[in-house]
Amino acid sequence: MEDTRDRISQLPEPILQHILSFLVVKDAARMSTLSKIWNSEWNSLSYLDFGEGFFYGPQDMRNLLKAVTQILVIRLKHKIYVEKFWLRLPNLRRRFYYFHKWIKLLVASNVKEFDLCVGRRIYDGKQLHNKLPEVIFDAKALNVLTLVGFKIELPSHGTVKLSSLRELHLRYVILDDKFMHKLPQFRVFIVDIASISLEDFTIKSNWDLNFVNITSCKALKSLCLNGVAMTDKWLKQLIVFGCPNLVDAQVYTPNLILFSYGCCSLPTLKLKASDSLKANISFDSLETPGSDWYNSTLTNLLGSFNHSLDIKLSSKKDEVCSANSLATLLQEDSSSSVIDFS
Amino acid sequence: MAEAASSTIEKNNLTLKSSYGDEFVLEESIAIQSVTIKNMVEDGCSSSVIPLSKVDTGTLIKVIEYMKMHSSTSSNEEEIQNFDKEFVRISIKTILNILEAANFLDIRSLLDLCAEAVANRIKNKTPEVVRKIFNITSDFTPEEEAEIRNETPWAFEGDLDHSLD
Repeated sequence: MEDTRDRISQLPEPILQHILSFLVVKDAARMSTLSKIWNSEWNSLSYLDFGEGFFYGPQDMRNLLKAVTQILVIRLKHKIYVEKFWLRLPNLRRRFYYFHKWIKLLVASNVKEFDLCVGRRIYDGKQLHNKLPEVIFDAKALNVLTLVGFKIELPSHGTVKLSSLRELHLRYVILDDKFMHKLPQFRVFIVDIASISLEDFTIKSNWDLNFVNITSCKALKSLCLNGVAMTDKWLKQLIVFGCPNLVDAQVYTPNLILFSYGCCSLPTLKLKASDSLKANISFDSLETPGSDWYNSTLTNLLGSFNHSLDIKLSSKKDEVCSANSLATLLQEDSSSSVIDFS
Repeated sequence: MAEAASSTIEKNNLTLKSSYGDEFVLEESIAIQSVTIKNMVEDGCSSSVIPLSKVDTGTLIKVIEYMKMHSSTSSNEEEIQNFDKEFVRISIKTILNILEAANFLDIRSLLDLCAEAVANRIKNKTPEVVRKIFNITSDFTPEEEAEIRNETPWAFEGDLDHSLD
């Protein structure tokens, strides 16, 4: 006989929330009409993933913007702490008004994970970044912050209260260097930055950082990661891509085991890393083998990896350097290095 | 001495008993993926058979199959992903059985897998279809239901899936 019992509605409340957390908001909201139980589950849902398509359908934009506000107002009213807020917003007028309001409501609802991507307007051939509402810096419960398409400036009062921040992901942002200097006060584990304005990136100790990804930071000139190996969690992966103006990199990270670098030129590099470091270096140099550049920059760079386990060097020009001369460069001190050409 | 040796070997195995009374012998290292069982072992309750009065035989077999795969050192990440994908290609009734067992046994990854599988049966479906799939009866009056629907009209727009699978 067919089982006609409603078993799903009998599940404990946290499990119903867990099931709904895998749905985007549009799917979860439809559950509200099923029964009183599901209506109450929807109204207390703390995972608000609006999905890629929420603002990109045929619906009226103003109604959707109001819907987001209403959802957040209900959560705050019922004292539901928001675990996650994930939203993709196209470029539209008066958007600051809306996301300022949302962030304010979310900070009041102790948001833990915040991910907002806002389209950039193009004016006079330039991309205009969205101003980030200062109120975000008051988010004391925030663990994971992801911002795409914003201009980030330190608040006028200069205080950043992101004391629970563990992960910071910034893409296509204009970044105030002063903001980055505030960050080391916190225990951030992951930093993932793509900013066209950042010139100087420095981290000095006190972070339990274990992953750094720096991409497309076209203005970046100086990169310095200076840490003491306080815990075994210390920086293990450093990835630098698309930073054509980087001239100086100092990396004192004794536990580093993966270093990936891919830019058109090579910086002056000072590196202290673990003996089991694996390095992937790719560059696109116009220099010819045997030139001064080879004798200085490349030799200096490779000298940093004398103690490393595995090195993979690649360039768009296949005649970069002969494998033998590179091997000689490297193996003066070390016999464990492996060189691959691609 | 021989006795001591045999008890050491037995210590590495646990016997799980389903609600139907069927017994399954499982290595302790595999079984302790269940936090509930792990706590019982640590509290010294594991000397005899562990009765799982809330888990029927069919469900227990599936849970053990899952735990064996996820503790296997010979399978790589891709094999485990494929296993998980196949594992939830079963009736919604069976998924709910496993979900309840995973909740009772406290196996986080299995609970996640089942909760996501349930969510996948809801994705993009009309409320009428979701009602049928899960046997959910409305306790709203038609007026109440219309009113609630009006609170989130945007959720009912666009192309929704009317199929039962």
